[in-house]
Amino acid sequence: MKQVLGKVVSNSEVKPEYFLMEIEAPSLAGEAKPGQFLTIRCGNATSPLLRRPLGFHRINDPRFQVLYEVVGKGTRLLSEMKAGNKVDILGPMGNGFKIPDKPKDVVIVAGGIGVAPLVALAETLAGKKHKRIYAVIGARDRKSLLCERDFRDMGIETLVATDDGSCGRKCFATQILEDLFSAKRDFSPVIFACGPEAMLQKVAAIARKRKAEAYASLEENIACGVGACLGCAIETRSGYKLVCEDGPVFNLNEVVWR
Amino acid sequence: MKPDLKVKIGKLKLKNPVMVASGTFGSGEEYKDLLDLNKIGGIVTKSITLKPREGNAPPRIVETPSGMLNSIGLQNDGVEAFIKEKIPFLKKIRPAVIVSIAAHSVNDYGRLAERLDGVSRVDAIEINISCPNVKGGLEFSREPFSAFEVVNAVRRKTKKTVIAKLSPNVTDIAAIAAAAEEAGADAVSLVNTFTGMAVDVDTKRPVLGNIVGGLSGPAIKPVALRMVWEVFKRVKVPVIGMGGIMESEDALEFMIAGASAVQVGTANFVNPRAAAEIAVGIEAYMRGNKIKNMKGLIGCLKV
Repeated sequence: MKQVLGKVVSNSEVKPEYFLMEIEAPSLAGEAKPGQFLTIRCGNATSPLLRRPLGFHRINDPRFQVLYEVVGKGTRLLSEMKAGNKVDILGPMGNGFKIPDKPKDVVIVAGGIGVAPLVALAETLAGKKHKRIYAVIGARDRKSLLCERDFRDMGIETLVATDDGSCGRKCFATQILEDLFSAKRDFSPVIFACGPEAMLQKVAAIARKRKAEAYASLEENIACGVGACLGCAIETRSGYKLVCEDGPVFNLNEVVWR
Repeated sequence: MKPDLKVKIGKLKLKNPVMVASGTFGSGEEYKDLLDLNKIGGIVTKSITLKPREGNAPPRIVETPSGMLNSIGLQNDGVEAFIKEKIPFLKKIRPAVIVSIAAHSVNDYGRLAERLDGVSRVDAIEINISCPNVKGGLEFSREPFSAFEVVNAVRRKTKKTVIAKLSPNVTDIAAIAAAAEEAGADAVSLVNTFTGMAVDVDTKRPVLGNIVGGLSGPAIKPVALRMVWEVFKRVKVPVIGMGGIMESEDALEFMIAGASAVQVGTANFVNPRAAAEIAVGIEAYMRGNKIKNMKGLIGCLKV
């Protein structure tokens, strides 16, 4: 882990309120693995105060990308950064996704901006021998649907769900996951998910019912990011764990929901 | 001429007056890759208790305007695990080590001090009588008499430097500081966090799992500074100032107002190198103002 000044290569709005930032930071990009994250300082003012955690969206040493939604003051400031600006970044933090060592079916389940770290995962998976990889992407509507193209370009079977039916099926991503299990016999994939807590709870329930392994990248407010402040705890079956140090990827079967 | 930044607090010798505050820096090892730890004057480790504590229900932190609330709830593995697992790393670095202790009873504070008394590398004990996030943790520094009792119990069990960390959630912090001094504290440190709260208007629920938490960061600096000034006027023992210190100018404000040393807390989250950079900034200020040593700086407020 290191703290470096990265250079913004580009920062553009890919969908309304969703931005893709590319940062050049050789020493940091070289260490990053899918599922890990970094924290970024959004400005020099004292408000917003804390660094913002973002998952690696694409890793391409000496550069990497982050995909983020503008949800508050911090991400608004990030969205205003221009190519050439320097950004104070700290990472990579946490543990990445555990890539299955034996060929397995894989289902990626993404909800909203939760798709961001799953693209980096898909890039790694697509380069290995796996039986089949499915990506299920859920979004509010067509305007907020992210990364469909990225998965398709990797040759991944991509299934889309929107709340209003403006793209793909009108249902939740978890319905498509459920249907995949119903349609296939002897289907025992590894599931990787990231998205809203309600979606992850449903993914956990489906995985338990179908006896499938499921991992998710979880979110919590982060202060230090290095395991010092103990602020980003989540509850698991074996007690409190830290998102920054023990996660952010957790076995969904271990997570105790609030 | 190079200014002398050395400062002595009780028997505790600091190479420079900048420490990192308890709870914000783990036991130092967490930050070893992010800065040269030897540039820091002292490390105050995360509070330990006699027995392990699992801490409070999440969410445990939330950002507020120019600050943050936390309710960690003293999560720690207990004093024995600390000695076994954290001390070995601390032996490899040079900053002073100040171990923060917390307990539910006067007796337990004494037992913690007794246990740490013989542990080499523990240069001082900071008594956390002001954690706002556990039942009972705060009350000891709410009243002069209970503060006296705790400090006295620790004092009787150790010859190491004893620092009493005070709560700002009181009417007259100087009276509490005076009680700690009378009980034998070698120094007082202030302030711990201010109790606070945040509400999610969409869910109408408190943001923190513990409902209330402790406010830290730049938002509390002016109040902390006023309290340090009040305490400095009242007691003879050194005062260690903290509360929202982000850069060297903040630290200098505290020192001019009477702090013999400072602690950097929340700033570590924003910039892991903050404490080291603040020490450099203080040195530059002293050089620029032709201040030779800490005596020329501490409490030089012109009123």
